[in-house]
Amino acid sequence: MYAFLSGITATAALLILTYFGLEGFTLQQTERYDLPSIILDQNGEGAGS
Amino acid sequence: MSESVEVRGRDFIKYRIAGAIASFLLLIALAWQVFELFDGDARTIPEVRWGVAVSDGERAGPADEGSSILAVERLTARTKLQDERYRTGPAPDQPAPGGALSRDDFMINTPMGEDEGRSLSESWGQYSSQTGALIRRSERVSGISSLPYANAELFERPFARDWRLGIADIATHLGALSIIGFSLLLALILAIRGRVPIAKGRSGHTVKRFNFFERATHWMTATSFLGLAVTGLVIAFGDTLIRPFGENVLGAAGWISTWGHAMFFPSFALGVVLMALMWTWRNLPSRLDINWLVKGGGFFSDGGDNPPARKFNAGQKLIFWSVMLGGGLMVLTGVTLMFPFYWLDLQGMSWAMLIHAIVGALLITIFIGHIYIGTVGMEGAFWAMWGGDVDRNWAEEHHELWLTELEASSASHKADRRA
Repeated sequence: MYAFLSGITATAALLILTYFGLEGFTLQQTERYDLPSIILDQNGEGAGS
Repeated sequence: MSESVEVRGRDFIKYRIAGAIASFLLLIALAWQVFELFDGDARTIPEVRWGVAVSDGERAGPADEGSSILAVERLTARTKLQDERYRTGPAPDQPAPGGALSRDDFMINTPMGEDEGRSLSESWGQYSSQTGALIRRSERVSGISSLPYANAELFERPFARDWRLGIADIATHLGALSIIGFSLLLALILAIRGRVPIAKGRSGHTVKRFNFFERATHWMTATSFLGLAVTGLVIAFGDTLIRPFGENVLGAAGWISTWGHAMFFPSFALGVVLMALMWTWRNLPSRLDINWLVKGGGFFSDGGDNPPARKFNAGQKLIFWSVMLGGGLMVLTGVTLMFPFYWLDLQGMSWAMLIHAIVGALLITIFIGHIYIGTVGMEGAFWAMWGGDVDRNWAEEHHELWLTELEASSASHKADRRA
């Protein structure tokens, strides 16, 4: 059972690290390319900046 | 073997009832999936119609109100949104085929005024020989879009039709068929033959099969794989399975799964690497494997007279190499999909997605078999990975040569100590 708990703990730890890594990467890419965020509302109109 | 032993595999009545119920449900799912294959609403028929702009009440081009997607007013509004679009991010960098119109032919590198945007949108709405030339078959058909996203200028790639056929028909339907069909097969086996018993019964003595590090690595990889499989199934089949519960539910599940799918990958990849380091040399093919495969691993015999195997039998070796090759391929294509166009062009990305989908469905099918045989399918197998110890009789029946090696080595250690 302890091996199982160790395994899922390792998975959870890497999961959390990856979340922050991906979030940081996405933010960095957005800033790097100065990407405009276009959000389409339900009518298909652009509502972003 | 005696009569009483013959009966033991069929003694697991509760398991067999559960197997029968599961078989019934899976049979319905399989029938539904087969119906989906032949109900004539294949999703891969591309509905490509030439859009017609309607401006000031006048129709331009062939009359087809149903496909009036190039509404000039809306295009103009969008064009004005992105007067700095020449500074937007990277587009797939691939050379245009000879003769095809490329993005650069239409690239405008200055901010557009209101009138320019409108006239450009209107001109695009006119059906002409030039626009007709754009839809001829070539490697790609690109034009100009008012969206602030350079990839949107790619109207169509004929290759994408083949890709769509592969992803929406072959990968989706055959993936579902293989997962449901194999699960049904296992449920039927459980219902009809019961579990694979320890023929001699439990001996009460155990032997160490996997150490702590091996088991922790196994569970890290297993939980990651389950996370990847569930989120991947939502991505692949969510539209069919979750949309009936509401679009908000589908949206939430899709968002969680898209992120979750990327987040479970590092622990899975690490697990694959560690398993390769720990177990590759014991999983190299040998002549014993042929004998084991020919006899079906003794799976259909209750007598415990299984073909001899070392630490890993041919079935376990197949699982191992599925993880190494299939898992490795999934990691490579998955990382490629996480970083689109960084090292592959559009065609490469399409192949990566197709391979990822097909190999993913196959791996899920294989691991349903692995989970089955490691839990309900075989008495005594689960404890190898849970506590690390297995019953000696189980080891003798399934890994006779390994047990002999282990006991010989243990005896020689004891002899050394005495000396």
